[in-house]
Amino acid sequence: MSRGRLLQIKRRIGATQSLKKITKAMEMVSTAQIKKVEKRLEVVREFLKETKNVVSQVHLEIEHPFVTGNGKSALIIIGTDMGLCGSFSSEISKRALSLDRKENFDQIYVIGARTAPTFRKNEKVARIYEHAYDVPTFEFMQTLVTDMLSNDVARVKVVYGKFKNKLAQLPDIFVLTPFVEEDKKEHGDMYEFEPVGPDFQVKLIEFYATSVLFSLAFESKISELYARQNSMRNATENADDVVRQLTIDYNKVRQASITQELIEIVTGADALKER
Amino acid sequence: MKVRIVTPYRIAEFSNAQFVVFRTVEGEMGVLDRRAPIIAKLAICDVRIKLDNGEEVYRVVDGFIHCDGKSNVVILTEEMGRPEEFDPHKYLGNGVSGKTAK
Repeated sequence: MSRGRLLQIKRRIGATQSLKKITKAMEMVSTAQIKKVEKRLEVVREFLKETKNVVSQVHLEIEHPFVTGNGKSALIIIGTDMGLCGSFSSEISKRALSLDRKENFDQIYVIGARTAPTFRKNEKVARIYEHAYDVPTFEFMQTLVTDMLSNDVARVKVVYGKFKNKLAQLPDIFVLTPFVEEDKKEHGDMYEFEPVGPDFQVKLIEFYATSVLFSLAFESKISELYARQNSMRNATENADDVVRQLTIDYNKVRQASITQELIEIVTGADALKER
Repeated sequence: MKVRIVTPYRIAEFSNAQFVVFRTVEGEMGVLDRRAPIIAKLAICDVRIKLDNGEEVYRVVDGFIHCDGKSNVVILTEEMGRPEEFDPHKYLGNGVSGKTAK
């Protein structure tokens, strides 16, 4: 009986060790991806800064839905395509659901195959984008903005994974439109614009919305990668603990089996002596 | 004059530019040092930057040019690269970048 138990524990130790190898490998993959993506974060931030700088010089006087806010309301959920990142994806879904309950949006746009199942049966979902990108692309964000504009969306809120630090990534809400102009710089009026006419401002506001979405998606991606790295590290550490505990159990059972065998031998020898 | 080409993927900087030539949606124009402030919508075009020691050419895809009147020119664009790196078929059509529905 103890032999069966020993084999069972040994099998569990083996399984846990192979699981540990997988989680360790996934942690290393996440670390490599973070290094690659983090290098680009500075560029993305600089791009957004320059875009905001351009927009801040322009007095927006157009009848664009993103400026006036006249049209449908929409919620964009920037989720994840892959799981194994702890509660990151589900936290984003929960935050989005609670925001929708509160504000009752007209349409919902979901990015991410992992986040999609939560919203698949929701009637308000206008479009689900699954495996749209590995690392966010500007082109995809243009597609998203075009989709929203073709559906008469004017007021947009975004739920994304805010990157607080390497250990904390929290779902956050960003109000994308209607666009609120910040205080004008004094020299803003000195500018000349080309082309003259509303087309320039339309293109600019759409470019701005795309840039902001791109930067939010990028931040969400980094948060996802850090969340995955942390959860894989935790899983590896937990596997270590499980292996340690199982090894103790294994040794205990082995010792009990040896003791049992010794008792049987001694008892047998004593019985022979008595004859 | 300092010229920066800023895209979502990379940034190119030139601190010793003398003259920048590009094409807006209304036509070609050039910017010299301390030009009056302007923000213009760019077409898909080659940006030629004349430097102290030669000339650099980059192809940019849409975007805006921002000249602040203080010797700084920023070209904001979706994509940039050497002209020979571009696939012309991607941008054929109405002069706008191809969008793929995903």
